[in-house]
Formats: sequence, C-alpha cells, structure tokens
Amino acid sequence: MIFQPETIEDALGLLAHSDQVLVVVSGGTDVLPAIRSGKYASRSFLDISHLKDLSFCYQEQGFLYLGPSLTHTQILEHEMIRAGVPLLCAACSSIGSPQIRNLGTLGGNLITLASCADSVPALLALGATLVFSSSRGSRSISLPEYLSSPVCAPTELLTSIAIPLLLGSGWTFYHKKIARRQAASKSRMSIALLAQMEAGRFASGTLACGAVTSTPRLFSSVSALLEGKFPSDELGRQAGLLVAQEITKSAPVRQSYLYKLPVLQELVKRAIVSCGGIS
Amino acid sequence: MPSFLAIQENKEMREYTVVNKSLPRTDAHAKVTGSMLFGDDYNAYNQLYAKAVYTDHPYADIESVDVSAAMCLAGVVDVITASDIPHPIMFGRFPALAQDTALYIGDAFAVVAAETEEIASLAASMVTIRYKKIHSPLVSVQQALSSSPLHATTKGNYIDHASHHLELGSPRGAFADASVVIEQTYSTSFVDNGYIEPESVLVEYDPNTHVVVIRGTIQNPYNIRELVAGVLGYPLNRVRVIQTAIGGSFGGKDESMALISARAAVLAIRTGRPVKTTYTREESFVASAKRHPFTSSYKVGLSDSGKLLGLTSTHYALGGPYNKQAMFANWRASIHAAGPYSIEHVTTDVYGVHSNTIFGGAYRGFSAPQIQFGIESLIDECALSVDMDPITFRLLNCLKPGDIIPSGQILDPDYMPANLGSLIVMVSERTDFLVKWHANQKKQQDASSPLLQGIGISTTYRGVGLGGEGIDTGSATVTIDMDGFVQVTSGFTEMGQGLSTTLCQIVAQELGLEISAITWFANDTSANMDSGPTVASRGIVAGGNAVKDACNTLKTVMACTLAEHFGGQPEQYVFAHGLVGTLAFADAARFCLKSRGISLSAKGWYSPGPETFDPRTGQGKAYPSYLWGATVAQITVDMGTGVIKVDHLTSAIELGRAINPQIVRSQFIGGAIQGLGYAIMEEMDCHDGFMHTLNFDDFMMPSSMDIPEMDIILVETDENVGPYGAKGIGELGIEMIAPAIVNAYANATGKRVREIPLNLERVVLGHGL
Amino acid sequence: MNKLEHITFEVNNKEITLAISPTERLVDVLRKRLGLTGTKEGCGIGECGACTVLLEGIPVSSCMVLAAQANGKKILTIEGLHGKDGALHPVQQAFIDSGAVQCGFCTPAMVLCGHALLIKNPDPSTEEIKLAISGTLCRCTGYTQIIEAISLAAARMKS
Repeated sequence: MIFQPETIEDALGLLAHSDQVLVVVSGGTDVLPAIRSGKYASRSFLDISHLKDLSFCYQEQGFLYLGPSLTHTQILEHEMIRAGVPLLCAACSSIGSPQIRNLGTLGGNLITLASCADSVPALLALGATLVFSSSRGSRSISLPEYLSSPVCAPTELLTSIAIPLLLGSGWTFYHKKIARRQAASKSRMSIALLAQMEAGRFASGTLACGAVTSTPRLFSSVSALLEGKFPSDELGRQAGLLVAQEITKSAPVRQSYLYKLPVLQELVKRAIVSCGGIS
Repeated sequence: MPSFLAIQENKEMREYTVVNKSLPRTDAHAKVTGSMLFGDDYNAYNQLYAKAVYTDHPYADIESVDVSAAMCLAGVVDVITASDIPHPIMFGRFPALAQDTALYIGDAFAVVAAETEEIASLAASMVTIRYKKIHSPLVSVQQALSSSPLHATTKGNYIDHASHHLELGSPRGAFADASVVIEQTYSTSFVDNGYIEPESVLVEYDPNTHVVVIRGTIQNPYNIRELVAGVLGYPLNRVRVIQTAIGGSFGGKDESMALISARAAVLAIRTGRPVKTTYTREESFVASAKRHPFTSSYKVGLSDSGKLLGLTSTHYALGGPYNKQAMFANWRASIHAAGPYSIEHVTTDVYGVHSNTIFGGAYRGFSAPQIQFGIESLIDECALSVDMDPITFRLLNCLKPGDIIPSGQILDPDYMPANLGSLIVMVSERTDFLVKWHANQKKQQDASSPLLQGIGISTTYRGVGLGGEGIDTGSATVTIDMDGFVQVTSGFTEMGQGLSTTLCQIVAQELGLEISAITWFANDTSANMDSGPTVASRGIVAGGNAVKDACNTLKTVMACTLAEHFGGQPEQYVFAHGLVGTLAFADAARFCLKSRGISLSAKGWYSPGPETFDPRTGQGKAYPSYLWGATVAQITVDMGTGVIKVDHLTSAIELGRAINPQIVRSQFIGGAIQGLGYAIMEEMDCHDGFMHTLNFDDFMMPSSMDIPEMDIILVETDENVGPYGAKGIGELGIEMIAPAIVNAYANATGKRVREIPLNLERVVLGHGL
Repeated sequence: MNKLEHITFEVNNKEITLAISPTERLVDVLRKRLGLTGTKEGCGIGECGACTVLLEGIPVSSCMVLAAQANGKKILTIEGLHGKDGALHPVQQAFIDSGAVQCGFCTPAMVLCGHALLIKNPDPSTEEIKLAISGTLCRCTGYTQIIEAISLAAARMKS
C-alpha cells in the first residue's frame, strides 16, 4: 500500500495508527534504489512528497528554519539561504547530479544518513538542530546528538531543521568535496569549515568532515585550537594533525585511511588558510 | 573553443559531392524524437521474461540446483538448467548454462521464464544452488600460471591459441651493444565498455518455418546466429538474427548477447512463447566482456645517442574462465607491441591466461589501449634516461616511409603514407610542447603550490581491419527501385558509429544521388551474407568497399543497357547530379527494370589480398594499411588531493579519408573521452573473484564536467585500401590518451606511475589501495 | 484514508488516470504502460540520467520517482517535445545539425536537459551547459558536440 497525505496532521496520524512501520518517501532518491535491491519487499509506504508544508524557509528569532522536503536544488537557488548560509548551498550543490538534486531532499539526506551524505558536514558546522514531530508532539535534538544515535521513531517525521543565524560580520566558510570525477560522484571525502574572523584572527571556527568515518562528525578540538589565533600554514598543519589523530583514536583504522588521512589533513590546512584570507 | 581542422596531404585529392561532407546522420531524426526503437523497446504479444540464476561463489563445485520452489510460484512458466540445453558449450568454452562447476561469479545455472519481470526475479531468488566444494579463486596471472588448469584440455591455464610470438633480428645482441638497458613492467585494469544501454534480446520461435528469430542489441549478428544454432543443434538457416538499434557496444555486446539469446531461444522453443531478457546494469557489469588487464614487461636497449637498438616484451592478458577474443586481440598486440618505432631487433610474446574473474573480450582498441600505455610510457622513460625530451626522442626513432615494421612489412611510400614524424611535429608546435615540458620539469621540486602542470605526448599506429586475425571479407546489397530510390543492406551493423549514414553517403556518391534517396536497413542475417563482426573499423573499409562493389555492378549494368538502347558508349553514361548521362536517374532505373527486365539489385563483396603471414615468427603482411596518430595531453595535478584535471588534448591523426568529417570528429572525441576515463578513473574491482563494482555509482566514467578542450587535426590522404581512401576512425581516439596523460603526470611531478587508472590513490600514494 | 491506488497526471499535455501499485516507478509507467519508449533505462539507480523526463519542467531521473509521486503533476517526455505537425523543437534540430547524436540512447535525456536549461537560462555559458548535462552520461560522443548543439539552439532561439 502507499499513502499520500496532504497535510502534516494526516501524515502523522497515518504513522501513529499504522499497524506496520511505514517507509517514508520524501525525494525517493534513497528509497527507490533500496526498493530495487529488495529491501522493502511487502512493506507499505508513506509518500510525503506532496506535503507543501514541509518545504518552508523562514527566519524567526535568530534562527533560519528549513523544511525537510526542500530539494537540494531549491536550497541552492533560494535567495534567503544563499544570503544567510552559503555554506549549505556549497554543500548541496556538490550532491549527486542535477536530476538527483531536483529530487533529493535535505530531510532525506539526514534520515538515510549515508557516511557520504554531503549536506551533513555543512549542517554540523552550522550548528543545526533537528525537530521531529509525531501526533503526540515535537522534540528538538542537536545534530551531533542525533548522529550519535540516529533514531527517527516509526511514528515520527522530521519536520524542521533549525540553523542559528550568523550574527555579526567576518563570517567566512570553506567547503570541498573530493570525488573520482568532476560531477555526479559519491564523496571520497568532504569537509566544511565555518569561521568568523575578527581583526585578522579566528573568533570561532567549526570544522566537520564526511565520508571518512562511518558518520560525518565535528572536531571540537580544532575549534579550541583556532580560537583567537592568526591564520597560518602552520596553524592549518596543526589542525590537520589534530583531525587525523582524533580519527585514528576513535574508530578502527580502515584501509582507506592510507589515502584519506593525508588528504584530509591537506584539506583542513587549505580550509584554514582560505577562511583566514591568506594564500 | 574546441577546434577541428582537416588538412589534405596531397593537394591533387579529388573533390566529392556527398562523400567527405558533414551530412547529418540519416538516423538522427528518429533518435532526437525518441522514436528509434532499441532492444528493450520491443515487445511481443504473450511474451515471457527470462531471468538467470547466478552462482554465489566465483569458483565452486556444484552439488545440486533445486528449482522446485521457483517452479511452484504462480506466473512461472518454465525453469531450465544445463541439462535442458542440447549443446550448452559455445565457442570460447562459454556455457549457455553452467553445470558442475562455477568458474566465475557470472556463471548462471538456471533460467526462469515468467509472466512478468517481477515474478521472474522473485522466482530466480527462490532457486537454491548447493555447493559441494568452494575453491580459492585464481585472480591474478601469477596465481593462474602456478595453479592447476581450470579446464582439462588447455595447456596449463593458457588460453587456447592466444599465445603469439614475433621476432625480428636478435635483441640479445642488441642489448650487448647498448649503452643503456631499461627494464620496466606496466599494468592495466579491467574496465567495462560502459554502453549506456544494457543488453536486451527478444526471441521467438516461428512455428510456420521452425525458425528461431532473435531480435536484439547485437553487434555481431552472424556470430550470434552461429553460436545459438550450435547450442540448439539447428542448421544456420533456422536461426535468424535481426539487429535492433544498439545503444552503444564498442565490442561488448557479443558474448553476453550469445548467452542471453541462447537461453531465451531454448525457453522460446519449449514454451512456444516469445521470451525477452534485458540485463540489469549489475548483470551487464558481471556477465559481459571487459577490456583485458595486461601486465607488460619490457626490456629495451638504446645507444647513448638515443637510438633504440633492441626491444623484448612479454605480455600477459588476464582473460577469465571463458574467452573467445584473446586469441585475436593478442595477435594484434604482438604486431603492435613495439610501438610505431624503427627497431631492428624485436621479440614480442603475448599470452592469454584463464582466471576465475570477470572475463575479457573486445573493447574498443582490442589490446591497443593496453599496449600503447606500456610502450609510450617506456619511450618517455627511455628519453629521460639519455637526457632527451620526448619529442626529439620520438622524432629520432619513429617509423618513417620505407622503414620495416617489426612484423616485417615495409612502409612503402607509394601506397602507405607513414607521416608520423610530421604528426608529432604538428602537435608539438601547436601546444608549444618543448617550452612547457622543460618549464614543468624544472618546477617539479617546487613545493610552493600543490597544483602542478604537466604536458605529455603519445603516438600510435594501428593496422587497418582484421589483418591476419581472420578472413576480412564483407558483403552488401544495393537495390534500385523503379522510382529511382535505393535500398542498402549490409552484413555490418550500425551501433552508433554512424555506419548507416556513411555507407549511404558512399552509395549516393557512386550513383550520383542525394543521400535522401537512400534508405539503409538494419542487419538481418536472412537478408545478407555473413560479413563477420563489425569491429576494428571494418565497417567502413570492408562494408564501404562492398557497397562500392555493388554500386559498380549496378552502374555497369545500367550503362550497358542504356548504351545498347539509346546509343553511344557505356562510359558516356555518367552518374552525377541525379542523372545518368542526360536521363533522370529514376527514368533510367524504370527503363532498365520495366522495359528491359534487368535486375537492379546487386550484391557487393569485398575481399582483401591473399594472406602471407607466418604465425611462428610473426612476420609477413600483417595488415593492408595503417593509421597514424599523435596526441599531446596537458593536465593539472593536485598533489594534495590526487585530483587530475585534463585541461587540453591536441591530436593529429592520419586516417585516409573522412567519409563524414562531423562523424569522424565525434567518433574521435568519444574515443578520447573513453581513453580519459581509462587513464584516471575507471576500474572494475574483482580482486577476490567477487564483483565489487556493481553499477555506475562505483564505475566512474567521464561526465560532461570532466572533458578537456579538444583540438583535432585530421590529415587526409588518398589511400587506396578503403573506399575513397577511408581507413576508419573508431579506435584511434582511445589508444593515445592514457599514455599521454601518464607521461604528462611524470612531467608535472617527476613521478612515474606504471599502473592505470592513475586515480586519486595512485597520485597521492604512488600505488592503488 | 489517503491510500493511493490511482494517479491522475498529465503526460505530454494529455491527462491520464491509471491504477498503480505502490512500488511502480514512473519510468515503468511511461515505458510499459503508456508505450512511451523514448525514455530509457540504463542503470536503475539514478546514475546515468538516460531515464530523464521533465517533472513540472524540472529534469528528474524517472527511475527514481514512484508513479505515486507523479500524482497531479505535469510530465514532459521526449515524445512531447516536437510540434503537433511534426516540426522539431530547435534543440532537437540543433542536435541533428551539430552531429550530437551517435547511438542515440542518451539523446532524449540530453535534449530534455538542454530544453529545460534554455527555458531557465536562454543564454547559457559553456560551463552552464556542461553543468546542466552533468547528470546524463554519454559513452559515445565525449559530450563536445552535444554542448555545441545546445549552444547552437540557444543562439538560434535568441534570434
């Protein structure tokens, strides 16, 4: 069976009263390949792609609220998002191909949570918070907390992504995705750095990377290192080293690290040099 | 802006009205409107869908195949195993269905025929294969050669007839005299042809004639006819193969088509219903031909002035458990292995080796991309060893008119242009090669920027047609109807390369007509003689000559008939501008057909000269002619990330005559971009016998964002082997790109990588993961 | 309640109502139920772009869209591009004139991507054209003549 509700209330009601776990279809770019490989045999589906109330974008009380059904194309073309959080646009523009960006949604990227999900490092660097709703109410969870235990209950839908607005001036960012060809390619690794510069120093710096470890992650040790420092090659090198050390300490070493860790270190250095405005 | 220039070597070359013109393709309208029907677009009333059941292990002995659960599923009409197939083993040892042993991960043990694709897939998953013993698969040349043979009747694990030897002079003596001796080994990977359309076939058994009719995406219809007839135990005249439009093939839609056609044919006969099979991309990746990985070891001796004195090389092609192409591809490799260079003493040995991996077959170039990667990399290493730049070294050593090539053929300047030197100079000057190359050499140690520029060159030469591989004959039928319009069919196939257009251009030129008066019909084995496979650019040489032959017959018959009735000599009846003499073509045709009862349908047949080749020494007339090329690649390498951007490709190619320059350009660029993929991103991972490269998200082929600026110079000559001098263009694009890029990489970084693809890991680490 | 068993949608300006099954894909509806075989399937996972159609004017891979998701939407396939009298759309004509077609399997997708681009951006740069077709793989042409075709179409449509 497939259900196609027209309002969020209807959708949540269907989830609450279903006697089986419904597979939620947003853009479809993750669900359809899964159907093809047999993953959802004899399952029922909830198609939320017709819910207009999940494609919002507005600012309120210091936050930018994004609807999870926004496609990656809608995000990278949206004036408010381009002006407010261009780092997210940079990340979304690197996802898949034009056809996939036209279908795939911000929410879908977060729910499927492949290790190479390209929007997630940017959302981490931006300090995003996720809101899940069920027919019983809503809950808020920071993205890092969600990533440590990515649960969306069978009765829940992701209904909003909140990003703190970047206050003040001196904001800059760096985003890079490494892939095996110049377009339409899975990420070999990606990195997002959001920094605020003040009088030539880092007032703050938040670094996240994806497709290296099993889930995209933040590096709080780098934030601590950057704070108050002048950008330099040496600072970049130190930050890269911290990242590599943190990765090898926290998870079993993979064969791909032979390639990925030196490259990641180089990208971290470039990120710091780039955000710091030196070359 | 990409540029394209055609130069005519010989100023007295003839001007034509239709040939040598960039006319629009005759099939373009159907393709841009989506009305062209490809394999999977065909459906028959009451058809069944067939789905194969594959092994779970690459190398295992089978205990049993249990189809009972599948047979019980509603909508399943039939399930077959090897015992239901009259003669399951085809040429090259390919089993239509395997029986006792799985020899690679693509071996199939049963096929289900059901009412829908979904039911067929579900039923296939319900077939149970029980394994008696699971073996460790042989996945490398070393393993294969040091293990017991996979087949009882081969010599070790050497592929039958795939060992080829060539010797000229005595390299050992040359090495003794050499000031510098270099030994290196180069290797390449399995890659897929990557046609966007997966294989598809629809097979019906016609109860009226007892003929099996196979309609599908088949590059070599006669080959498939022969193989399926053999499997069924039918005479050839009871198997008919009709070729649909093909969404790309490049050599690959051959073994896979034989397998799915044979299976569907057995099911169609048993069920009395049409049977359709379309591969998923995953099936196409696993169970179709790949380019053979080559491991090529060279030893070369040079004088201190940079003259090549002697070269020996040994090449191993990893072939998979079944193989029907290595015997031919390896022969071509043995002729070309020493590259387009004048070397007095050469020994070449090429071998094919069986393995429990995905299998090798034909993929554009047919050993040339692997061979050229090896020899052109080696040439650059040789140049460096005697402190010479790559251009000067090549100009010193490249083949020139009058030289003898390693297989003993003399490049007779009267009928075989060998202007490789001028092609090298052309691309070198056009790219300012020497200035850039020297500058980059100096910057290699510069650590200030992770982005490095590199410039590199490769040359190639390529024997035209099949040469000594086999009998290179072709057929065509040209029929003039009484309204003056013309039908053309040929034993050769259109698979995107534009042959249907170029053959029509030749017919139009010969008969003095507009191309709009000519209709080309897709290949149907009941309507034409066997012309062998459409490979190696034979389509234009053998096919083109065959249509020309047919047209000559028609012109002679018409001219004689008209002269007899209207007076004058037959020579006065010239076919041009829609006229025959002063008569309108249609009137002339109607006169011959209706008033004189003359048949205006002629079969053309092309046959090259007699073979004079000694397979023991690799000496003789290997090919009727050669194509020549030189390409310069300019790249930017990011040493920090491993990303290579190919910025510019500049190529000069000598191809005889371009029947349709726009098609030639497109073919060349298409091949070049395949070559780019081969060089830096394409790789199929079957390292443990299991397939890890499942679909296009794993197998990276170049996208539109990966293409460089292309600068192409066509050098045209009035060669006499092909029609109007055309020698073909299909392969030349792909052969030179990988070595040019890898040589550019060495120029940029000072590092020599001897395996491709030169991907992210190999750039950063120097080796693959 | 909200259970979907039929869809009503517009394909090439024609309204159609069909019973659909939950996992049926748009590409299957087009190719097998509506006989519109101009839309091709190359990989089934949205990587090759051969199945591209315009959904509300936007290029999408139809193998990645459930038939259900097309409910109430407008679809344009390659068959809907030329005029009723058979007149080719300028993008189609430009593909013929530029030699942008070889095997033709990716051609419908490439033409539609070019068409969608020119509606949004009538004067695209070469880089913008490359980006617009970057999700559609071509193995035959090496893309160059396809890019030239879309550029030619843009120039012709401007004048």
